[in-house]
Amino acid sequence: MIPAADTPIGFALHFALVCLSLAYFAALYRLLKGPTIPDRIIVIDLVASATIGVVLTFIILTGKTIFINVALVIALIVFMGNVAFAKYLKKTVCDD
Amino acid sequence: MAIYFVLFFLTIGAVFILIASIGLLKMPDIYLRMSASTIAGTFGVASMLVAVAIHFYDFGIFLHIAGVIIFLILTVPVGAHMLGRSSHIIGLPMWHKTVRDDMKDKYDHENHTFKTFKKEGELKNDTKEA
Repeated sequence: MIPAADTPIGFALHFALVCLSLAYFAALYRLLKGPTIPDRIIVIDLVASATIGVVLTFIILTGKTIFINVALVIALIVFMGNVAFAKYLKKTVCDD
Repeated sequence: MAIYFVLFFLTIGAVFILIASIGLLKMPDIYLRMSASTIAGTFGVASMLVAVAIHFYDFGIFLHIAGVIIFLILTVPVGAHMLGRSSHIIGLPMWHKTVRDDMKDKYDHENHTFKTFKKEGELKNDTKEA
């Protein structure tokens, strides 16, 4: 069922997975090195994008379309995390 | 025929997420990093979702994917805007070649208030930042 790497769709899927794992490594570097707190917060956004990409690649690889809900839930949770971290950052300076 | 559209959109989406990560890695400033990450990342995810929608040619999947794309387009700029505003309020510096900063003249960093212009040339601190 899983297409081999020498067919066109299999090559595209493997290429997408390689690109997304390189994106994970870049996000990890920025998370470890990032000089300020917002540098570490915006890593959430890129990691969520890469995770949704991996989930979509997995959907095309295996044909299990139920996992589209995973992409929806990740998008929801990331928005909540962004808003919460933005409010927390603002409350570190203004006390009310 | 449809397989080539799937290949095109899948590759474009993955490459755009990679470009977003490169922007997150190489940009000199928190605001530029945020811009690169959110814009290119959203476009990459939307393109990969379109690839999935073409691959499974089904109406329920169309609805799911349209929901995810609309939700991403609505919420990702809002989150990035809130984060950029917070990082401007806590006083993170911009890149030295940045030409325009609209909030610099209107926000008072000492007592955290917005200045509103009552008359011509007169400043008044009355809006308390929540």
